[in-house]
Amino acid sequence: CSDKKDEYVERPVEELYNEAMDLVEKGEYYKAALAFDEVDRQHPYSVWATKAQLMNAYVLYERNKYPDALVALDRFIQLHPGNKDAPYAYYLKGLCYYEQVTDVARDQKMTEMALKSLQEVVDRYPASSYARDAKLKVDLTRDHLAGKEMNIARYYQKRDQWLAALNRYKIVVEQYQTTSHVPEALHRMVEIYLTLGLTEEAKKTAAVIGHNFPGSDWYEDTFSMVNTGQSATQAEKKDSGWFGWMW
Amino acid sequence: QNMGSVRQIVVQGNQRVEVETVKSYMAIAEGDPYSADRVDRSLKTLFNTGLFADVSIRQEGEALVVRVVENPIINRIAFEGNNRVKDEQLETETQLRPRVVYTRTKVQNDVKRILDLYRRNGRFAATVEPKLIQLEQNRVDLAYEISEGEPSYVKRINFVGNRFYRDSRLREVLSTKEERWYRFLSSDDTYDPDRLTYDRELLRRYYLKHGFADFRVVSGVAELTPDRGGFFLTFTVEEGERYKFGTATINANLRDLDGNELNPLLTSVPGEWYNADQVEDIVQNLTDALGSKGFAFVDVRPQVNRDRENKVINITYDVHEGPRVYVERIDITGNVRTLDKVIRREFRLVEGDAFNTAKVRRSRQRIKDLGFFDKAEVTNIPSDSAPDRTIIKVDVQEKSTGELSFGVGWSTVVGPLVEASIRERNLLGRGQDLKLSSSLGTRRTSAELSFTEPYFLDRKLSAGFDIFGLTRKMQRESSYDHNTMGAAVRSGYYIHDNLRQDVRYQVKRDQVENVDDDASIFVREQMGTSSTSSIQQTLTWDYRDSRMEPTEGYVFKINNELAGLGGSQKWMRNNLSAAQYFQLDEQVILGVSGTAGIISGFADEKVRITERYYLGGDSLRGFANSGVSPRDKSSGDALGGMWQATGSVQVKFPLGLPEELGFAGQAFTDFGSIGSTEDYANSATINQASSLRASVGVGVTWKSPMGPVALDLAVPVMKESFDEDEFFHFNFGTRF
Amino acid sequence: CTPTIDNRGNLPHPEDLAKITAGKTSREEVQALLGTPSSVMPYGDESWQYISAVFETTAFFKPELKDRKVVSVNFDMAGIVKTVTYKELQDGKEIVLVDRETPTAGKELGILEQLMGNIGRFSKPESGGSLGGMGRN
Repeated sequence: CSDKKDEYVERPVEELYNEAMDLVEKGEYYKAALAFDEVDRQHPYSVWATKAQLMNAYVLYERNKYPDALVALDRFIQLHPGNKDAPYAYYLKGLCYYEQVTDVARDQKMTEMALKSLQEVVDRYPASSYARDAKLKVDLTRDHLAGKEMNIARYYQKRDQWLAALNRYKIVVEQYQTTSHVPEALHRMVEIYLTLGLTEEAKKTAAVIGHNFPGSDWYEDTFSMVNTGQSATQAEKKDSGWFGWMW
Repeated sequence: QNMGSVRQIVVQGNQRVEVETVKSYMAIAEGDPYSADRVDRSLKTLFNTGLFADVSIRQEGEALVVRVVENPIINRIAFEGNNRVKDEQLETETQLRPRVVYTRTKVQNDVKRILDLYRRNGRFAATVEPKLIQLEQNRVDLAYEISEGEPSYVKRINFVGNRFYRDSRLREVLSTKEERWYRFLSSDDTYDPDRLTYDRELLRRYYLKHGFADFRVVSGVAELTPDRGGFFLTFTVEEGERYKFGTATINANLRDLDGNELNPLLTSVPGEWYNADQVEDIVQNLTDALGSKGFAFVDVRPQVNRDRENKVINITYDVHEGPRVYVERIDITGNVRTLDKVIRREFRLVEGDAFNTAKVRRSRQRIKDLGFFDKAEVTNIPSDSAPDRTIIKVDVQEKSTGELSFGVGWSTVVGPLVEASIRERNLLGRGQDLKLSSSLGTRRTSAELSFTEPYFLDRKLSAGFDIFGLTRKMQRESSYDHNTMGAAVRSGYYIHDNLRQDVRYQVKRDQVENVDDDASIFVREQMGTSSTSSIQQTLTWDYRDSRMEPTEGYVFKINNELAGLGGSQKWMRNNLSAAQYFQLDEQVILGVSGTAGIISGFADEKVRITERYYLGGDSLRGFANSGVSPRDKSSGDALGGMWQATGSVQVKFPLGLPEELGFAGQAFTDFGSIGSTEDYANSATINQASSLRASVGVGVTWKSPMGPVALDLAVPVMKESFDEDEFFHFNFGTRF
Repeated sequence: CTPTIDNRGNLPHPEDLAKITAGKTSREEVQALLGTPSSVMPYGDESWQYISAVFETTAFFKPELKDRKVVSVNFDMAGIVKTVTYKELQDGKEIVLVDRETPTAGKELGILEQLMGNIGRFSKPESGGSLGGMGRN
């Protein structure tokens, strides 16, 4: 129905805009988008047109049409860089990428884009109300990227490729210090050092976990493994039956 | 006079763009000291935004007056005059959108993009005229007036300087084809400059494969025909001499390696025509062998030295230490759906390993063979963390691996049939294969669900299961209907590149029903159901150059099946099959093949009629389906034999028609014999003979746009009186 | 049938190792002789590891570890080699890995969504990619 040429009904811009906003409240995003288009088309130079452009992008975002929303947002930012709603436009861009983040076993391009645009919100508008949530999401995306490195590290460790796994775990420890994966990464390094017979290195790394993550159950495993050669969890549960060797 | 500082900035002429926006793009702000250079820079940045048709900045007393003329906003975009290329295609190709700022450069770029799109579709004579319609409030409507012009087909391809191969042979090698009416579906016959350069590479590779080491494409030129309707392509080539393989030596100067250990890998035979592909294979094998001897950084380079008098090429394979570089990391991108490990496990290299180009080439090939990607680029870039480290980058572009196919067919054996199948070759991005297929025919209906995990337990061991059901109307052959239902678990692995073993455990329930009243007593006694629980193994040696259309090499298969681990059936079956292919001439292929099989019951259980062997139809052309088999004298029902052996000698040859029409002729002789049926061996009421049956025949195969068609006419030359023959054998299947 | 042999990691050549003497060789010299270390011990005074292993794989069986060597070059504060230690296969320990994993978010691919998502249609990267991400919190 969208390509039938709707005739030019000249209506005052506030009326058009409010009608569109009601549609948004009602969740009729498709109709709302058309209504916002009408505002922009009939009154291109009004202040309302600028707001309509941003709302149009918001509606596209709500309908999960991320690529189109991103195009609309870029257009808004280019036309109105100084506008008071610009921080929201940057923030919405970050959300568009953030909601396309895939699980750690797949391509993380979206996560990287989300990290970049959310970080831009924090850097450009530190005082804005969006900065706090953006900062929170930045940490979550960093944690997600660390999760990807862990996923590859475990892939190599399961296949006895100790060197490959060791270096991947070290990437997590060195470049993602603030993420939730660091305790596990350090513990895995201890596992590998013990496997290789580098008991000295294993002890030093265990000390680092003890120092930084004393309460974590990873430390329990590390401590017992360094001393008894068996992880804490493994010592508790008796051997997992003859099926054990299969998996 | 130049004033101290800018007290105020005044913006004039802006309608849509706010004043703050103009100020934010300026390199000078209120209160800054006046500087001509910063004003100039502001002018440039304001222009670069593309928002303004014209900008001027001048001083007026203490203020700086910025006068702007805004570019209009595009209201609507329309494409007129395009019919070959649809509006949606044009919209995705062009960048301008309604309500975006109009600038002349953006429109010019879009005009270029439209022309590129037409060029890709082979329309070089297309022209595009952008038209602007002014609207009030500084808005414009943009219309592209397109005249598509005639398609620029390739009228003729000719070659200059080719003595050894005729023009027609070389045209087969090229990917660009001459314009023909039957090529309405493909765009191979339209002129495309990139394809022209690709064709030069194809020519070079073809000649180098057949001994022409000095071959050179002097030029590949496309001229427009006088009526501008198409193109003439002319390839000037210099074939040079044809060389044979001479000596092949290894010159390795590596610490503690004696070169001639590797000599067996030099597979080039002196006297045979020189072949560049074979040289590449030798380089691969040498690198692998050296790699497993611990020489990871080896670089094998073939030195080709020509002996021009007796036209022989002697190759010395230079082996020397390459740079000692290690793989720091393997980064995989683009896998939106495929799991990282599904790609990573195909890699011969592990992070931290020595970098080796041959292994990278092998890994790239294996990733491509997965069949999940349109594009799979494997490149390596130096790492910035250390000079002797490199990062391997794998960028893939996934393609749809879901297949929904539907087919209609007809064959003498089964009659008309309809087929449908849904398949996902990369299930959940895990590389697993799930397929549901069914076929509905008047005399045969079947359905099957099959699942395969290629890396069971993360090892190179494929495992999967099948669930199947089949009903067959055998009234004409043996006056009974047979239906079977069952399930199987299977597993398979490669012992080495050409030897594979598959193991399968299967449980099924067979039912013989609707037995005709006047059917043979031997058939009537088979009525009812039986259950079979069997384990089987298959060893396959496959040295053919291709599975679909083999032209060289052989395949040999041994299959042994034991039924009796539970279930009512107790028998042991052994099958053998083999085929060898010879390339007599460019497209003339001789295929010699044979099969043999024997089944025998044990623990005094009888082998059921549905498990016995029958010859005829596809297995022995010239004879009807189950036409050669022990047969009940009175009812004429085929009862099946306890062993069989067949053979076939077939020559495939072109019919002189253009190759891409897909026609091929074949002449063949099929022969075989079949053993007696279950142990009614001496019964008087059964006709059976294990004499040799044979037939000769000719046929045509056609790879039609609708699907493969095969028609065989065969005449039995040696047969028994009670055999049933069949002159005309037809098979037509389509897949949409 | 012959198994395939894979050499993993970085095995320094004995002749180069012989050239390293404690108390004299500097970090740069070790780098020149043996190349960049496979891994560097991030804690305590610096120690470089050169890790290598040899695996034999036949058909589908699990790759069998034939040999493993770890050369550790430990430096003093001034960056001069203090000790060089060698670890062989038997020095290592067989340990059972902890199977717990730190959770990560991101939506797994639904089976129907994947099957129906792009049957027979080439899925453009961006449209195929929108898998719902981390949800709307």
